[in-house]
Amino acid sequence: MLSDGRDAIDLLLDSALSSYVAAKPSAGLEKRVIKCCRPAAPKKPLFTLPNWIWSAAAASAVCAIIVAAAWIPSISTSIFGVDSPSLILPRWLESIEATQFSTSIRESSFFFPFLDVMHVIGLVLMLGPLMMLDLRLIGVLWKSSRVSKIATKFIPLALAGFVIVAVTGGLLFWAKPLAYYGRFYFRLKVVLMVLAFLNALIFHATIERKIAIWDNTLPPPPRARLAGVLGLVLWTAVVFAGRFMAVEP
Amino acid sequence: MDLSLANLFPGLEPLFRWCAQIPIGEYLNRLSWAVTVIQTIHLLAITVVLGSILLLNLELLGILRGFDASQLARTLSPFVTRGLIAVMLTGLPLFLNSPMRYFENAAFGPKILMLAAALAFHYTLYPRASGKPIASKCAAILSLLLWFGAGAAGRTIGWS
Repeated sequence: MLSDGRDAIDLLLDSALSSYVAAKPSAGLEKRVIKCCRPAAPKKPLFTLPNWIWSAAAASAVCAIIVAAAWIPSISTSIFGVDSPSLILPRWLESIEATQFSTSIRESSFFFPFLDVMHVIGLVLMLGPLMMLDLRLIGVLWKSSRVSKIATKFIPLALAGFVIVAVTGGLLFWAKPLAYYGRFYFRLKVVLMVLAFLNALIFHATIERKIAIWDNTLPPPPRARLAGVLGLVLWTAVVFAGRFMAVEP
Repeated sequence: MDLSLANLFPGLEPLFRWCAQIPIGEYLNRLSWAVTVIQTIHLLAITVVLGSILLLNLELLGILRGFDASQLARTLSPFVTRGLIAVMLTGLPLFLNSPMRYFENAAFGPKILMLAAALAFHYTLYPRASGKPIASKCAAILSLLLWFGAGAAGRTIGWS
């Protein structure tokens, strides 16, 4: 905190904003200014998170990595020299696999492949818009549109895709819990997904709350660009882990 | 109903036999993870192509409001083309790994035919439909069906 109550991020954003104003706005933005007669009213957020939330989220990311190191079998063996305790498959997985529903999905020659195909289609629906939003946050694509506009248009699409991925993925796991739970890449994928969600949570809780300041700024502030890069890297890694999980013996 | 290329176009067999001679499989199978890595890059490239196609068509259908149609097309068209190049560059080694398996696969035939139809439609009739209210909506629905149908059939290859 500085003496006038502003922190370093605020100063950084101010300097980025003034350099943007000094530069000539791009053609697309000029057009936009002519089109809309009055500035859009600031949207009231559904809820606001306290300022310390980002450090809590970062701390839980560190905890997630430590738990992951103990939970993922080969990592726990090589780092701690002990077998992961969770290698003993929990009783509840056996009771899932014994249910009628699980058995009927597993033995269906049509429904299980259908779920797998829909899982991939849902993945495309989710990651297409999400990666474009990440590219806007980095400042590569959609440069003539505001970040808030890209976010409000693309996040619902990504959420729709996520619902498909979550439902089909949940059913696929429900069908073969014992087979998947012990796999290295399954656990890696879960950990990477948790990290991707934490990345999104940190972004929404911190830098996105000041979006009115940097909505049109190019390049976007470093924290927003970091969130974009992390989003791209983590979701790509999730896709890799998912593919490797499917072929793991 | 067998929709494999072996059943639909039996005359193509010499071409597939010639492809099967190319010894790319030997190199790919030396590394156990090579095929999986190429498959994942193939999938990510498909995500780029289908994601762009999805946004273009949602704009045509009037669901994705607030974007300038020409700006959207200018931003996304290069991604469709570059994504397709990446899809083909990764798809080719996967195909050459075992051409006869794909020749007899019941899902590969529909996939290739739908992909060919989608490509032909996308680069000929599709750009002309923009601006006409009814034609553009029909074109958007047909485009979505062809592209996502090709994607779904592609994943079905592994299950048939």
